[in-house]
Amino acid sequence: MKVAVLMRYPRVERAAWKRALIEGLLERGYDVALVFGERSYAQHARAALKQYGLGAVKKRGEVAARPEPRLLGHFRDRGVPVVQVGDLNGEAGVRALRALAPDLLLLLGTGIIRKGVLDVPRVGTVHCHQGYLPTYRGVNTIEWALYHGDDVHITAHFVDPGIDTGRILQRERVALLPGDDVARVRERCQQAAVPLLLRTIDAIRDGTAEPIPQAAHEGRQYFAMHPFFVDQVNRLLRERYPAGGPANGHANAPANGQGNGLADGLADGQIDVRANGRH
Amino acid sequence: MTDLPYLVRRSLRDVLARERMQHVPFPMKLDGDEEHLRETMAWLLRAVEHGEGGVAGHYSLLHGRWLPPFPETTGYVVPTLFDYAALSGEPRYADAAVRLTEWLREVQHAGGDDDGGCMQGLYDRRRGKTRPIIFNTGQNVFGFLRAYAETGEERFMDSARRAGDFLARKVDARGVWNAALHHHIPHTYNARSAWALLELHEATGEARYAEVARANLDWAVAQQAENGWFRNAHFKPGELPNTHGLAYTTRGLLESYRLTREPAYLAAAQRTADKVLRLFEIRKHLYVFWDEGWQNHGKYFPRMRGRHVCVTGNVQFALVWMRLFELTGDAPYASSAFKMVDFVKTLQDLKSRHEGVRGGVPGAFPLFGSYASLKFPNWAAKFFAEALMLKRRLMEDERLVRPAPQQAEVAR
Repeated sequence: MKVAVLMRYPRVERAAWKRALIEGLLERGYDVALVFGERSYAQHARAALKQYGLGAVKKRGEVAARPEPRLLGHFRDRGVPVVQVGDLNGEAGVRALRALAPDLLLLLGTGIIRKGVLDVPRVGTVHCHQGYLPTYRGVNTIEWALYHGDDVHITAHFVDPGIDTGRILQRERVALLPGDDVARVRERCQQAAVPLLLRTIDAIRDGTAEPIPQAAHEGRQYFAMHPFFVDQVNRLLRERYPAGGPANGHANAPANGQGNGLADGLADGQIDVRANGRH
Repeated sequence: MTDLPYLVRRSLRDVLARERMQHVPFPMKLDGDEEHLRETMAWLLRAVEHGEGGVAGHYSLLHGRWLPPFPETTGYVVPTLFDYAALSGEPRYADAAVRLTEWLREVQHAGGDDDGGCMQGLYDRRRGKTRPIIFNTGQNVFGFLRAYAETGEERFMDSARRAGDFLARKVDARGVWNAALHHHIPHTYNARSAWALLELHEATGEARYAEVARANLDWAVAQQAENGWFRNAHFKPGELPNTHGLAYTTRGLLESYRLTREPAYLAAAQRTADKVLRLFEIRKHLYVFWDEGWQNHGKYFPRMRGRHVCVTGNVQFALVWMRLFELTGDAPYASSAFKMVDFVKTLQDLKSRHEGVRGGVPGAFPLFGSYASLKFPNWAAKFFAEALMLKRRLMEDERLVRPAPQQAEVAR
């Protein structure tokens, strides 16, 4: 099965979880190709500015200082086909993808992908959304779930032209741990996405995947959270899961005994897989 | 005399800022709410000093001076001045509010004829005189009622009743306002006048005020399209509705829901507020004119997509969203509103030595845009001050700081 992995920022992309995921695909025998958008310096700078504002310069420095290898060079050296285009949604991007003739597209942080691209793969396009679908669509859904006192989930789903409205493949709950803040939870969600996506893609290949359609009336699209609310989420996390608090074998159990506390029996860092499928 | 140097400098800055906004995240200014509020209120007080009895309508960079007062905006500035006096402990704001209300009484039509109790509009060139206007009269009810609540002076309540009586008299057979209107066309934004009548009903217990209000609110709801857009929300014949008028309508319906608990008013307000929130979140700000498909248009070249921002309308929708949070407890409304307030903070100049500019809120972004062009309107400052004070209250609201767990449909 041929999997085209779509990413942006070839000049800086070096996320360890993405590397682990791609290596996992290669180890499982998938025919993998990497397709990067934002090829030129100007495109990269513009995209970085859009994402991080003036903090892009600082971010660039931080990323460049990381010891991890750039994904582009790392996988090219291993013989994985790498394609760079200016705009993934542009004509050149679609042409490059058609030339690869993938069975599956895997989106790893690409922004919105248009229908022209989604029409290319034989089977479909898969993405791991950081939030429980269909309830939490859109952006900052980890933060909104935490703010609302809900458990944190990630969802693997097929991508359609809507915002996180495609058929749901698998969901997984991510444990909350003592000392957590939003950044740590986000990082853990990224790590949790690796095994979830590998299992999901295996299931698609093996024909055992059972996608669940989302109804139009279900869920809600969330937008970027104002920093005041992010501060509240971090404060609520500190109160519910203080650093050094008793793990108790209950990774999600708040220190004060309140809240959801539903991941009974989980050890630190374990992923609760019981939430897969529809409950 | 035109403030040309500032005008050129500011226009250039705005154009550059607008281009930058295409490439960077929300242009937030997270700190300094207190300073922005203090300077906005100081600007409003200067507008009172230059307002010939009322609140100067604008500071115009083109004319290089303060322009004459609008009775309707003077009416709704009064409660904001009282609110800030209570918050800041500075009685001069309350004194100014009382002076303004006295002026409103002076310009209120005193006769016992059919127009008694009304507020005149601006000079009508076609008729060669000023005319009674429903909207102006409705907005002054807010001022009279608040001044009465603060001072206990019966003359203010008397003025409120006379204004209310005029509004109740000027309805057609269906109970809808079809006369004494700006540009002689009905407007859904008179939902704000209906809200004022409901407030008067609350204060006096007189049922006819509520009956007229509800008839007009029902008419406004009937003007709403499925997608939240309103017919008859425009100010002038041939124009499209602008963000300011749509926000007037939405706020009127929302506050009327608060007073009547009529679910249709909340549903209508939410339909528009939700659509506009989505437009704001995707585009980062709200343009001036909207067609029935929520496409933005220019004023002078209607076929072109207008990219000018109606700043006051943006702030007014921030207020709508914050009030929606207060009424529904739905936190994402407040999050979007806070972002909008941060955006408008970036448009306010707090360092200028220019008294017409420092603390003022521009009508448009860029400054030369197609709403209150090259001006700082008093209502933009009023709504921004109101938004900052409401934001302050919300940031201490237990429902925001300690949200109750939501019964969302999430696997547990």
